[in-house]
Amino acid sequence: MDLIIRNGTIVDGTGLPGYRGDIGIDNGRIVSVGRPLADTDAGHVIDATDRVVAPGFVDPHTHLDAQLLFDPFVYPTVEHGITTVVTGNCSLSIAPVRTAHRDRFSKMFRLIEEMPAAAFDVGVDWRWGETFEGLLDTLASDLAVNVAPLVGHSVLRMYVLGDDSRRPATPDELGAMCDGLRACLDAGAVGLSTSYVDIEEDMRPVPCRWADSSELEALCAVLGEKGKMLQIVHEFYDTDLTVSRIEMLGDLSRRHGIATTLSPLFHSSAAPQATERIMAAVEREVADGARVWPQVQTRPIDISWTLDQRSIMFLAIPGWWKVLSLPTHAERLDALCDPGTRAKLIEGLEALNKSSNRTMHTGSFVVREVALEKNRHLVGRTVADAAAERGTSAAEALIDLSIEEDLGTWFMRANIGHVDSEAVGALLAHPNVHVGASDVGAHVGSFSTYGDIAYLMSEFVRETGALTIEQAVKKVTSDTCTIWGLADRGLLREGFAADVVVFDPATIARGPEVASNDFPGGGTRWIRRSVGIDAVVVNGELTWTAADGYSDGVRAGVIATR
Amino acid sequence: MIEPVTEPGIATIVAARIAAGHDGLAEIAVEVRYTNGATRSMSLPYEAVADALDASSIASLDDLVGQPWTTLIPPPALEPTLEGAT
Repeated sequence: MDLIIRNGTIVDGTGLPGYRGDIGIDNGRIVSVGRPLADTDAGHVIDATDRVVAPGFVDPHTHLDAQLLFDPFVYPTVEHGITTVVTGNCSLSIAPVRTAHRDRFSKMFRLIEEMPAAAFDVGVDWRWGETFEGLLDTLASDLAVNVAPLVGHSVLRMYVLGDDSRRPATPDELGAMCDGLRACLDAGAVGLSTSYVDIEEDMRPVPCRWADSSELEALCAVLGEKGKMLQIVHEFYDTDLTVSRIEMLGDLSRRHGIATTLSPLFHSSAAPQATERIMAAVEREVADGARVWPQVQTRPIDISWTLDQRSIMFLAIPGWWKVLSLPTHAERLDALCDPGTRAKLIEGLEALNKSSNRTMHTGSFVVREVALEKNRHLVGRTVADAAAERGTSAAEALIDLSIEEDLGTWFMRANIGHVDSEAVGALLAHPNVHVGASDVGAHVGSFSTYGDIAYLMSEFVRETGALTIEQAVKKVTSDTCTIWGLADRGLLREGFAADVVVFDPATIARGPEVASNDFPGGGTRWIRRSVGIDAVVVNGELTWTAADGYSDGVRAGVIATR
Repeated sequence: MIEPVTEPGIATIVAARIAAGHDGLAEIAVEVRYTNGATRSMSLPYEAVADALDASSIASLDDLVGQPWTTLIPPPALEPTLEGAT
């Protein structure tokens, strides 16, 4: 055999109780599950004593479209146990895109998914031309993780309607879109993604939002012909509209025989009845025979900022927006040093301290990253800690630390939403909830989207017990593969593709959020390294181990839908 | 707090706060009330409205309350319409 994983606790993805045994892998496939292989030779052997051996995790909501083109490992995705990713979510796939529309598409992708412009421009070279098939051929030639790509409704629309995509399609154009979708599905697309919320740079709806209902109807008929998936971004901020979208998806699912998913669904402590209503609507549709899967992310929501660039946070602090909107670094620094301005800024922060929402209190903000080594010990600690050390108020400490670091200090207001572990855990464990919405690959300059499944294991399995390890593994492996129609993956079963992760259930976690400057074109992004994962196998190839890191020459990833 | 500027026939912002937006990114969640009394919620990436806020006297989320919803439209005169938004 090529690889044997010995003496681990096999959590096979079915949800059934784990059991002790060995796993044998040969020629990219699982060839033995559970039977003792002590006397069998293998090219590699992993001792998994006290470890869980599970199918590789599947992330159904990523925006790794751009990163995959310059980083086949989509660092650090693989080391978190992810062996398959769904790309092209939210109406934005990187093909089919006509040459003339590259600039418009790039702006859309960079705005909506917060991809740094330099990284996108340097890393995405459009070497495949315009077609979806060409893109998948290009990806497949240099891939360390499996990809299940969606085709984006917005780009499909631009491809057919041209620049004039802010209108309903004509019957001929609709026919061309259906043909185009068929071609993408035949080339390997896992389905179609669309959006009801996103906007372009000029605040107008993205192209897919100009479609009338007959257009989605026709495209869903094509999905039905091919047995493929529909993903939507719904009006998540409005419960009534969300319920309506769920009913729409239920109707489309039943009539066209398709699976559908919507994201994101958050829990709000301020309006807990919203998720109850939404899940009740999902349950009604499912009971009536539809496949409607709301995606729920695992991590809570944070906001990070420095005082050197405008942030949404400054709109929440009285008196801050105008000062921190000054055009140059020098002007902002001067303003912060000016005694009169400084006093007003401190007054604004202190006003926040009267809020009943403790996440708004200055002392609760966290020092996320520092510019000076002498302040390194403050990283991960609160502004209140820094204030205690300096003998000042929290507001003074925040401003003084920033000035001392030439405005290079990063602060974080943690846990502003989706934070009630009991409620979120119950939601994640709900049989009609699809664990996803990680958005890996997006918003890299704002927060880390890497490590959500590890957080599922640490917070909701180990800490709160909302799910058993078997339930959690099933949610992110066989459930995901079943929902998305990914054959031969998601289970530790003989004959299945050998996507496997070996991890320590006692320590698996997402690592601390750290700055990384590894993207082409420079600039900082936020990542989390893995903790408690020993090895990741993609299609039988040892792709990452905690001991040796990434296997540079290994490129075992495939287009999982071909 | 700046003075609310109401315009006949134009929906007015009645609430504004920071909330989880698309992908879990913090966005500006606003609720607008139409002249017929109906209300609607919207979530906007702050980058998309920052220029509009610069062009107005808005300095905080509280200042948005009472303003016409067109306050959120960036200055390069776009048609202030929601048409096309399904």
